[in-house]
Amino acid sequence: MSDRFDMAAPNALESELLELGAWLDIPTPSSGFAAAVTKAVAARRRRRWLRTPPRFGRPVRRAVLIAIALLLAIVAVAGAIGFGLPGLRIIFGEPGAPSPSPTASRPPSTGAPGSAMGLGASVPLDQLDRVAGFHVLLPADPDLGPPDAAWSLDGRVALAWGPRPGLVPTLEPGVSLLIGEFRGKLDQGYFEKVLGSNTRVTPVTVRGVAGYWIDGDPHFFFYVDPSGRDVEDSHRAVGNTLVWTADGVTYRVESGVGMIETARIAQSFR
Amino acid sequence: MEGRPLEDAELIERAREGEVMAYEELVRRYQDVAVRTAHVISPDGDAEDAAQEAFVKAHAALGRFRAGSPFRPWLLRIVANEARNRRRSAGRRAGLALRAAEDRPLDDAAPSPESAVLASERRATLLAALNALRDDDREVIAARYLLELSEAETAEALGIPRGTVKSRLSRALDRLRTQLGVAEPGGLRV
Repeated sequence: MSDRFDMAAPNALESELLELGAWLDIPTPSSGFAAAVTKAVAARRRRRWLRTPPRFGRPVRRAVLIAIALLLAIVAVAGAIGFGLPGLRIIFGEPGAPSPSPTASRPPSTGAPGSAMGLGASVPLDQLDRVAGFHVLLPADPDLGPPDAAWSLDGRVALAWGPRPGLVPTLEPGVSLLIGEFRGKLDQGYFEKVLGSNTRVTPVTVRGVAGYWIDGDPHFFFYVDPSGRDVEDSHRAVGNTLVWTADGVTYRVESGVGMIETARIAQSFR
Repeated sequence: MEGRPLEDAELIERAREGEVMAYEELVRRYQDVAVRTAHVISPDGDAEDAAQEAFVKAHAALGRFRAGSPFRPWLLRIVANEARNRRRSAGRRAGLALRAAEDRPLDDAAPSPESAVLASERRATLLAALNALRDDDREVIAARYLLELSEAETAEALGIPRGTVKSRLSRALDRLRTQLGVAEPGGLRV
């Protein structure tokens, strides 16, 4: 038998082994192999998010350090369970859902900022607290000034700003800053990420409470209202979003600018 | 070694930042070699399942991946570990098998039918001898010759020093030669 392998030739056996590799009965990955991995990765990450917060990406980490030094104390949240945004559910790029219109695809509305977004009825600023049923906070930043329009729908308040120095357009024509405030029930909170999304979520602390900075692809908000119902917010995100909950009210600040600038606006809320 | 180290690095970085599609691209890129590796390490296990689990674990371990180093051997080490764990629980194995002869059509330069039979017998004998080796020996031979990994890749994939690859391979080949003296044809799966 051994003569078949020509032991006298030093590389004969190695050559036979190399050739053998092509003759082996070896399975090939199924067509759904990669997708199955992605699904498992996402499921694992969802479970992990319930236990620990996602890690900061490098650019975000640097930005966070700057923010701490400046004004905000935006820091990593130490424990997942104590996230502090219970009841808030954010769905990213839900399959089959239409994408928000890009700025270029729709001409600016001729009405007040946000008038084309289905944010509800126009509300005079001095009536905001009465309509909302809680004290509506406004940014005190003098560069921003008061909102150009205020809207209310089902107890949710939206404040919209048109173009301002230092702000950039959002996905919604004519709107450079949008602030939403609504009562959300404190309940078991979680994030849910649908596969294929390029949305990033970074846990932060805003105004001394846990919150999230959300950037990347547009996302959709669901929250639990005071009666325990899952409610989808009336509009899709139009920009990068800073969101936090304090005293039973969830605040949502959307803009086209970065985390630091958005956090600065949040910090000025009075 | 990877052919596209820069692209891999970029995908890895994006995957680390949470971009699932970047990781899926990496999976597509290395799924063949991952399944192949899982199979040669644990021939009787579900290679696809082991490789998928390894990819999931690799994703969870991306934070420990050393930037700039090749992804393939790092991944294959996780695959090999996963396959080994399954091999231990699977018990005794039947081993690697040859594909049916008709799965590999002969080309114009094919040998005569008689030569083909002899070649087929020779492969079966060699495979039987390989299957009879102990796991360590079979793994190092499989990595170098069946998976055609480089010495450095073999070292990382099997989790042993590079120098050990040389010595272990040399001893494994010696034992394979010894085994060939007593091996019977077998392992042909038709």
